[in-house]
Parts: sequence; structure tokens; C-alpha cells
Amino acid sequence: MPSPALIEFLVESAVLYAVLGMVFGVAFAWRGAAAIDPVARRATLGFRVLVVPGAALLWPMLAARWWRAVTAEAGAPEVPGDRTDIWSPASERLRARALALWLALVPVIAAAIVVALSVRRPAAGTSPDADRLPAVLPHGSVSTDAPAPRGAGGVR
Amino acid sequence: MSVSYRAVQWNRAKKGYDGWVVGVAVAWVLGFVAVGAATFDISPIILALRAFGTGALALLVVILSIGPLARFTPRMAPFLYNRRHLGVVMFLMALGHAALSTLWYHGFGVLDPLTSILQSGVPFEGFASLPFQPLGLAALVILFAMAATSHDFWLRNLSARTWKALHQMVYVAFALIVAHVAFGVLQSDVWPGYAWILIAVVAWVAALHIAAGVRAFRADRRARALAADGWVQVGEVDEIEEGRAKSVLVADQRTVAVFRHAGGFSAISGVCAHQGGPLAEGRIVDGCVTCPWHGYQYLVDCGQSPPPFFERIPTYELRIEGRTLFVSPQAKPPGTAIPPCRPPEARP
Repeated sequence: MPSPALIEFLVESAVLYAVLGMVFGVAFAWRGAAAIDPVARRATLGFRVLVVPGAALLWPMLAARWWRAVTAEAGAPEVPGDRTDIWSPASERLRARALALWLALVPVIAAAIVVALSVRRPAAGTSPDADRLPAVLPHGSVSTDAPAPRGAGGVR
Repeated sequence: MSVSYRAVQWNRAKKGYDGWVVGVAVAWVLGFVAVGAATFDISPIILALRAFGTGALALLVVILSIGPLARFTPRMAPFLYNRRHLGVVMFLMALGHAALSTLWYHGFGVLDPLTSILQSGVPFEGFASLPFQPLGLAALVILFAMAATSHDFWLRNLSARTWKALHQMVYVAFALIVAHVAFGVLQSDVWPGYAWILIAVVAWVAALHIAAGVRAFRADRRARALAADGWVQVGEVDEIEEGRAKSVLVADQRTVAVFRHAGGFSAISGVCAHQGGPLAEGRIVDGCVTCPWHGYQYLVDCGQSPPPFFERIPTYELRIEGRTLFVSPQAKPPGTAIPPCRPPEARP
């Protein structure tokens, strides 16, 4: 299990990544999308809003691609249709990978269910504990009429 | 199609589909909360988060069932038409579940909510207290990545292969959600039937995907067995109805759709350039082969989308010996025009 310090570091890193991503996402929707894909030059405002979350998620890759598009020497005019992948060569690999994934996941899911049901020990009167008020109140004060929190995450 | 990007390329059929999906989702949440509040002494917030959670899981099972079912029966193909909108609605319901759960269970402590979720179950004290919330969080991250990249812009710019690989992560998300449920709500004092329902759902989805996968694997193996240099027999010319196609497997694992149109025969790739839809299951509308999945169109004699669109797919040469059609296994470059092959009685 990760240590609390590692978890705190991961959370702070994720927040920083997301904040930078949101800033980049707005800029990408405004200019970057059209820079890497000519079809986006006449895109609607609705499209630009919709593309922000994906750009925020993938911003390091898109930043690199945007930079390459801006700095690339002008070559032969691009025919966007030529960039459309032909699915056939990849499709068999994709199908095989999907089958392999399912064959690998089924025993994992089955094991998870078996383990979960074997350790299941619901205590009378503790469930559904969520139907009561939150166990931990603001400022860390603990409610006296709610079940004690299980771990840092509060009640299950 | 692809001449310019819009937020949503709605048409009448898609609006109807989306209307039904949103209507059912809203009715589920409102009905769940209303019935729950009238039956049990439970907080409306708890009822709402359970409504969102169960609704998202149910939608995910439907989404995961559509693909393999469509491989077994063409009657399921219409449900593929706007499946990505179904996925976005499912993600929004999962997000509602996560937001309310986080607010309710982690929003009032000394730790910030995200840290609180990830620290649940630390230190590890056995599977009975396995932190199920991080499992749900991991699934939500995958569903977010899929919803955020569902637009055609991402399909084109991530490449079909990368995009599809990313979206195959939905299987992992499904496994995470099953574990989230098994180590979460099933650990509570709930009706034992819920466990059997979960097992049945997992068995249904897994069996469908494995059956469809094995079927596809066998078909691919048959295609590989074909000689690379031999023309492939399609069948008798009378087998193919006007405006319809027959699917043929040729070398290099390629599917070819042989269409009959205006008395002649033309062969194009059987795989749509958009999302790999089965063109042989489509039909010819206004002289264009129309993909049954999302309506992408190609001129039947050259594999080129009609202007102003620019998708192109490979074409194949045909020949007729007697009444039997044969197709060349060698693909012509995408967009290559090939005159229709006509049986003797149809030749001028």
C-alpha cells in the first residue's frame, strides 16, 4: 500500500497536471486544434468547447505535436483524408487483443468476486451506514451518533 | 462527416436516439429517488448517488453488449449508430455518482477529498477492508478519458489504432467497477441476491465478448489460410441483391464488400474508414455505399466519399467466369476507380 506521503505527492501532481492541462486545453481549442488538423480551421464554437477536456488530458502529447506543426517546413499540401487510418490491417490485432484482454480479465474478475464474497461479514445494524449523517464533520470533529470511520476514507 | 467539425453532428435519427437515452436516464434517477424516499428512511443524497451508480453500471452493461451482439445479428446494428452518446451519458452518470459519494463520504473531513479517497484502507488490514473507492476512481478516470476523446477529431488525430486501444480500456474499467461493487456495497448488509445479479452480469458480458472474439479469431484464421496470389471466389452473381453486398475474406486479413448496383458489381474494402464499421452490412443509398454504423458514405465504384468529404477506402478488381464472381486479393490504393464488372447479359 502506498504511504500517505506518496499519496499526497500523487494528488498534488495530479492537480498540477490538471491545472496546466486546463490552461493548455483552452489555448489548444482556440488555436492548436487548427494547427495540427486543417479540418478544425472552420470548426464551430461548440466543437472548441468540447475538445478542451481531451486536450487537458493529453496536453503533453498535443503540445509536442502543435510545436512540430508550427515549426515544420512547408511541404506538399496535406490531404486530410490520407491521414485516415485504414482499419483492416489493424483490425485483426485489435480483435485479438480484445479477446486476450477478456481471457485475462475473466479470472481476475472471478477471483475478485470470490474473495469479496468470502470476506463479507456484514455486521447487523451497521448497514446501510451511509444512510446516516457523515461520520466526520467539518474541522475534524467526529459525530457522536454515527459509526466510527473505517480508515481515513470515512464510512463505507 | 469530416468536412468541418461541429460539437455534435446531429440528425433526426440521432436526436431521437439521444432523446430516448437522456429520457430513460433522467426517469431512472428521479424514479429511483422517488420510490426510495417513499419506501425507506434514507437521505435523498444517498438515494441519488445510488441511482447514478446503478444507472451507470446498467448503461455500461448495455454498451458492452451492443458490440458483440451486433456481430451475431444485424438487428443490433442500429444500436451501434450512436453508441458514443450512450457512453457519454454513462460517464456523466458515473460522474454524478462519484461527485455525490465524494461529497458525502469525504467532503467534511480534515483531508482534501481526493487524498481522503486514496488513503482509505491505509494501512492495509485485509481484503475485508480493501479500499473500494480508489477502484471506482480508477474506473472513472478511464471513462473520462474515453468520453473526452469520443469526438471524431480525436479519432483522426490520435490515429484509429491508438484511439481504439484507448477505448478498449473500457473492459478494464468494467473489471474495476465490478471489484468496486464487490468490495463496496456487497460488503454491507444487503440482500444476497445482489451478488448473484452481479455474477450474472459479469457472466453475460464476458461470455458475449469471448464468443464474439473466438468467432472473429476463427474467421481471421480462415482468411490467413487463403493463398495470397489467388483470386477468391465470391459466389454466384444471383446471390447478391440489388443495392446489397456480400462479404468476402481475402488475404492479409482484409474484408471485401462486393456490391451489386445498377446491374454491375463493384468491390470495396469491407471496413469503414471512420470506425471500422462493416460496410457489407450496409446498403447503397443515392449511389453510395452507406455504413450501417454511422452513415459514412463511399461511391461504390471508387471508394471515395462524395464531395466535399474526403475519406477513401481501397477498391478491388472483380471478374465473372460463367455465373461465378471472383475478387482479386490485391487491394488498389484508396480511392482508385474501377469500372463495374457486369455479367454477359448486362454488357452493352
